[in-house]
Amino acid sequence: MTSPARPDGTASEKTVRDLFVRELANILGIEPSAVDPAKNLDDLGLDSTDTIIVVGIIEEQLGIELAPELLLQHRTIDDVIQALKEIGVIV
Amino acid sequence: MLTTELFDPYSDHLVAEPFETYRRLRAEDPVHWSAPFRAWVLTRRDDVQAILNDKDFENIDYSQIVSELAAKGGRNYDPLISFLKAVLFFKTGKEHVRLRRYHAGFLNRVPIAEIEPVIRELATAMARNLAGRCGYDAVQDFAEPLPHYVMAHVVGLPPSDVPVLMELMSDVTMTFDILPMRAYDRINAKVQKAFDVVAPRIAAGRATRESGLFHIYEGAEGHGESKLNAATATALFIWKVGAETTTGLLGSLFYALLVKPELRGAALHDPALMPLIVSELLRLEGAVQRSFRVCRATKMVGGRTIRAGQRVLLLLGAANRDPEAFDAPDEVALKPRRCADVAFGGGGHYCLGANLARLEGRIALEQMLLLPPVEQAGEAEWFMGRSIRRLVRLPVRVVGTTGSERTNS
Repeated sequence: MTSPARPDGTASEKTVRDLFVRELANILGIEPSAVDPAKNLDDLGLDSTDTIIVVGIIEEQLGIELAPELLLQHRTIDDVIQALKEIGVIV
Repeated sequence: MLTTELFDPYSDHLVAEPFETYRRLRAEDPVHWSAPFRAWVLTRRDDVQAILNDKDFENIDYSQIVSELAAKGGRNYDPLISFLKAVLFFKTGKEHVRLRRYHAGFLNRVPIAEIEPVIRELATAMARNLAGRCGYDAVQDFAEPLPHYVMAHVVGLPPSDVPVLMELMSDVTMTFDILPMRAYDRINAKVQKAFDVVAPRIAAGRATRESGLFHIYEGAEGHGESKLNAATATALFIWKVGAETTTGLLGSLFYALLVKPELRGAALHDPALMPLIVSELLRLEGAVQRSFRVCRATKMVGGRTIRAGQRVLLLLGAANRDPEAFDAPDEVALKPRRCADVAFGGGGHYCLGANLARLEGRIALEQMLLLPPVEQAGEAEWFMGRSIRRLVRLPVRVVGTTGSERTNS
């Protein structure tokens, strides 16, 4: 699989955002359009094993390593995106 | 890390030095709702003790969590799941009662007095080896191997299996925390290899009725392959958990002698203090820092309402330094404390290996005191878990020697 990340391991905000929305929709069994990036992930019905799976898939897709607690510490997709900007994954 | 949170359960700071975080949490919000953890976090000794004794707070079975993860992630984690199913302290209700009887029956069938000379012989041989060296790693060369060999004796595993099993099972208790999928993949593969080492030992051990493995097999549930699998998991669980927690105790004892030379002097002056020093290090540096419960009936704890179905994280390491329960809580007291600590848990899950751990601690401490005085020769390093606290590295050199002498030794 071709990684959507750049060779230096960074990715654009749109790439990462689209990935999160797609994988969250996939694991929750809902339409991507129903994933509100400002909504609390708990309210979307995401549990702790879901978060490990989603972070694992995103790691594989981007070819980088992320902390599994990323989706537990940050409660909305918008917050996750912000955190990934701070650690230099999203440039 | 969330800077707005009073307690980040995933923080790297909790690995080496969790106590300042615990202190702040206990002082500011002792019954704390952690949003990222989706759990109550408790830090006062009285609250923690009360919940350990309350049957309405049930343990959480991590084997179910890993099963769910395997199903959702399309993985085969059967070896890891088998191992976690054998973890006695994840069990509840009748299953816990049955398994606890099985484990207690196994551990108590040999009087502890018969194990004492075995521990002494192993500890003396290891200490003698260290005494001839200018420098060594107090954990890797003493605190870690000693209890692993002791537990191999208890379980009935040959000493030759110990180094390979130590490596294969080195990070299995990381699964008590949250891990990335790649880590579950790696740990599961290693546990499979550990099963491949131990299962043939059990098959062979069944022939000798004296072997610990024979007794583990006899008490295991199921038939045929599933019985062998359950017995293998149980043997690995007893060996691993008994050894890893005591590794934590012995490492913290060694470190305490290093950073508090007055403790060394006190113990040499009055050997009767040794059991007390062991107890205090268990309290101060307990190998099990966390225990999870789920609340089955709505309860009031410290003025807060914990609803049925909510999870509760008991920070045992914080409870054991509660100033309301222990005067000068961060110090090693050289007279008995009035208040009981929760180093070995409490209630129906109180550690079955407590007496064995105390005995190993006392014998190891005697041997540490006979070693030439040492000073720290490098960074101390802690295990990367948040649930299990233990040193993994503690380089030391004999006082008066230099680094170059150590290299040449």
